[in-house]
Amino acid sequence: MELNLQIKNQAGLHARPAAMFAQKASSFKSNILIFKDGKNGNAKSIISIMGLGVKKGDTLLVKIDGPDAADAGAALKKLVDDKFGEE
Amino acid sequence: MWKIKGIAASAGIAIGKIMHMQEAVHDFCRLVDASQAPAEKERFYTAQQAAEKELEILQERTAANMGEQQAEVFAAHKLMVTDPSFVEVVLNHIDNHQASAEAAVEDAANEIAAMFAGLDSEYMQERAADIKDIGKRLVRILLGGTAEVNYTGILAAQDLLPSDTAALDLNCVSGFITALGGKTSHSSILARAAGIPAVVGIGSELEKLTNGDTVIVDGHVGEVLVDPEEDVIADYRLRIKKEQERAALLASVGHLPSETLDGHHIELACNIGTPGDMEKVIAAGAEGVGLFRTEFLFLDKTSVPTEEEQVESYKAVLAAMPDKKIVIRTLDAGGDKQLPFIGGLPEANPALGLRAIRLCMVYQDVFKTQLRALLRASVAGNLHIMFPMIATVDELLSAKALLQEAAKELTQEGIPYKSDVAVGIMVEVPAAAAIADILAEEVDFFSIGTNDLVQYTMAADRMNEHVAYLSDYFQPPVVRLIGNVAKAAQKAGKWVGMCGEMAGDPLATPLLVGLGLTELSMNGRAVPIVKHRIRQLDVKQTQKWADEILSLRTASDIKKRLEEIALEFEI
Repeated sequence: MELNLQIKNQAGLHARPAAMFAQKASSFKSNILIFKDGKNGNAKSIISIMGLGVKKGDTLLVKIDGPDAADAGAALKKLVDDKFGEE
Repeated sequence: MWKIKGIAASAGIAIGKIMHMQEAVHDFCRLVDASQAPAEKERFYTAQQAAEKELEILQERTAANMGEQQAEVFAAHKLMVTDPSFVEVVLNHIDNHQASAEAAVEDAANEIAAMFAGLDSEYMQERAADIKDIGKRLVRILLGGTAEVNYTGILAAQDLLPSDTAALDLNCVSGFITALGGKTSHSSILARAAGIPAVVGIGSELEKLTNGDTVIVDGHVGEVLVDPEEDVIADYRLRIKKEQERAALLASVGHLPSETLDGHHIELACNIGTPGDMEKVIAAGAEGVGLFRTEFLFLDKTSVPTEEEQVESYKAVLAAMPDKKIVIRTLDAGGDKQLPFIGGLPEANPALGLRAIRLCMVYQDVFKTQLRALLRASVAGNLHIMFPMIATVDELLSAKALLQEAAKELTQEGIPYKSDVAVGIMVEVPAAAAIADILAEEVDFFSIGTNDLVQYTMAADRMNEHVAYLSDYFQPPVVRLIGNVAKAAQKAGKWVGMCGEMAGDPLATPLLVGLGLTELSMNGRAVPIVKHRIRQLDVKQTQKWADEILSLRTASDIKKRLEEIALEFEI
């Protein structure tokens, strides 16, 4: 499955949100890739995520492939929509 | 004595002797036979586990000494050590380049650091240091090294990586100097959190410092004084002492009343942007809110916030200090703050265009919803409604008429609200200052917004550095307008306050009190120092000063006079 996520938290995907995103992605069996501006990376890797330089307002394309794809998509969407718990 | 200029990363002054941090230089063999690949991978996995354990301990220790937030970086490091992308690059080097585990780790870390360094955000560029740090840690572990070091005095280093700083005993280190780094690098953040003066980004000048050199680290201006003379040292020691006294004094002012020597109360309030800021307002020892910017409810939204949503936010602020004055400014959008759901055409001069009250009078449905929400919230506390950018009496009367209409609707619907909510305007357009006497008849209060008042009075864009010399609230025309507004308000028996940057400048405090302002609203951090100034003022005396200052010819004359006056105070 594929979904678009718009990053709304102030800091973008800085260390802490990137870590939360990678940890959440790692809790699923599916392969998860993220794409932004022609670059892509492994969603289970904090380094890949931070390497995309994602800022507030950017939209990520997330491609999920595997047995728990739907759950993974929902969980990542919730994390982003909740702004990673930032104020 | 000679000086090195750097970036002021953490305020304060430290005097001490230089101690360079030992850059661990490790020799290791880079190439191994291809048949060794499985063994090198095993070594890497073992080192990885050891690194995770070290980081675990560092995280706990840092959390205990410096707080959870400072410790978070090690949680991120732990993730990076086991990161699939990092591991993939390391294994690739071992498999395909006959690299030893050490070489593979170092190369992988450098490659990823280079990728971070190429990103266009300063924050991300500095994350390159994180990954290099991890590389160094793994290499050290692979070579069998330990982590403990002891440093005292002024620590000089290329850069202070998180694991370096966590291994430091901060009670022994009195200052930091680094060649690399900026305001948001780890060393700077840590220095600020620990209250250690720091100057960063001095570049190759670092090499000119020798262990044992006496230096003064001035973290206020970002200077390092090397081999200072005795009298310079004495001078700085005195400054350190004064800073300590000042900090102690300001901490003690917190909850004392904001009253002049002759018993006049000057209300000190805070400017806030969201209901969440109320905690800081209370902690700062302020007596209310002099400016609540409501834009946060509207910006970043694709549709107009509902009345209910707004009522809830306004009530949250009012209820946090139910018996204190809370001034809520109606929507100040347009110009450089475009609303997605309104759109609007691009303007050649947004600052002079359809913004604030002008925009609200075009989109009256949006405005009326806000006014209804404000009235409904009024039952929760002491609400004051403030209209921004008023330039004419007509604008004010139309806004007030719409407020009346909103009130009438609520009455008809049987929804409770306070009927005696105070209504005022923000004085930020010179036009309003010029007719302050006329406007004063129609309002309950004025609040002077100096940032825009300066921009419009001096006809100088405050973001344009070429005309920055005009953007100064001590310019005589600005000071005179403030005087006019205060006089008009006093004559009409209305109170006048200020919610611009000038209100939080302690240098301006005697002048503003002298001109007749009775409320100053500022950033929470400025409250203690301004309060301390007020507690040393005599209103009669400030009036004499103000009269004198109104006759001065230039901004620098006014500043100079205020600096002389400031010398009469304790701090």
